[in-house]
Amino acid sequence: MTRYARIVLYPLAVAGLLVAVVLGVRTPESHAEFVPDSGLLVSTRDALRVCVDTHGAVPGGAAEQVAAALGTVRAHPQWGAARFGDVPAVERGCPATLPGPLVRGTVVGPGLTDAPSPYRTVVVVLDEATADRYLGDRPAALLPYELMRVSDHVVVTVTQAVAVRAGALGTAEFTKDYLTPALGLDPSAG
Amino acid sequence: MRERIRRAAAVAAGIVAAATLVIAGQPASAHHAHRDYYQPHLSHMHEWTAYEGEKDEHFCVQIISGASHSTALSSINRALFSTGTPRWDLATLSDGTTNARIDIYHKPNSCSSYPQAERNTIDIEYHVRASNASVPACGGDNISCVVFDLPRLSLSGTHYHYDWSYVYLDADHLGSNQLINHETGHVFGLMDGGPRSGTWDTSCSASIMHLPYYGCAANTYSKPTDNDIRSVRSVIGR
Repeated sequence: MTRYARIVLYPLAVAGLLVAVVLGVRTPESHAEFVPDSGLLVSTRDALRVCVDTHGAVPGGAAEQVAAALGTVRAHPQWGAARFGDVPAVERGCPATLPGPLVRGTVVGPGLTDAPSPYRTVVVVLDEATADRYLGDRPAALLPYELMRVSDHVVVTVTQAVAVRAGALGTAEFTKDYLTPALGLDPSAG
Repeated sequence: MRERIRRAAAVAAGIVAAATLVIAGQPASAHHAHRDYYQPHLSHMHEWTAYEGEKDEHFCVQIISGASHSTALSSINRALFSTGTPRWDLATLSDGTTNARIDIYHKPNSCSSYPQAERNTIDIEYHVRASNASVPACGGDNISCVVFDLPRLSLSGTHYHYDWSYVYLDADHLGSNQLINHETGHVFGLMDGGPRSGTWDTSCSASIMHLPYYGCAANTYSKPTDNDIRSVRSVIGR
């Protein structure tokens, strides 16, 4: 090895080793962290996942209607910037609670957690009677589902829920004014 | 011998280079102020209108227990508007210069009295509870805290911010301009600081976010400092 190679390669090797060690320490995969510059919001999520929960006698096809609405939102100009990729399949398995009238700020999921679910957005579909009881005359409401603490006294929503009456699922209003913001996309940019 | 010295020098240079890379990789921070990485803030603070409108920062008060609505509203108005400059409203510095992207207005009635469509246009809800009551977000009684809801990608595409915020105030804190202004600082993107804050910024620089509670005994401010307003203007500019 020449003197020149030693002077150049030794520092590079040591630098590379240290950077690798530091990066390894800084990116633990098992521990969820709030990631404010990602559309997924949480470090343990690697793709957009959307889940549907139903309450009452909701007619069949709710998940398909949500999937169709997602297909429409796919054309939103911020979809790419959010790095959502392909339209995801709509999943089940995100139980929501209805603690009372679904006014702004009502938590309909697990609430404060340090291990959020893989779902970025949860759609809570209510049959008409349940919707009348919890939403009043509104078609839908945007609500927190899971929240994370980002410092001692600051907490943020990391999983957004949208509660919607079944009859409003197929409407343009639901897609633009509720599902779009429930995915973190700006309705005014659409 | 010379070869050994040369080799040692090369290794030392490598360590310095690596340290430089690591330091350069840390998130930027504006003077004293709070790592960019964790600065949740209101979405409307990037926008303004010439007259009162939806893009201004509206707040309302909701009483859970422990105080009357009129007492709470007047306390919050006192802290936000009657402590002189610097102040959060219009991001006003002590020299009187302003930035209209923060333009605070109060709603006269309880948050819950507004129809949901109107309530959804309110940026900040101050929820007041008795001092012996707790909310999960604050983690205990005698503590005030802030919750952000409805994250949204900024029109600049550079970050996520929040359409709605909730300031959970302990009723005993209504008498303190310092604590009301401290919690309001969170709404505009500032994080806690000080040796016991648990954040990266352990300094006791001049800031209402670096309070005696966090180990900065000399910081007895009752209103934001120029440092705080400059930090908020930095968030506005994103």
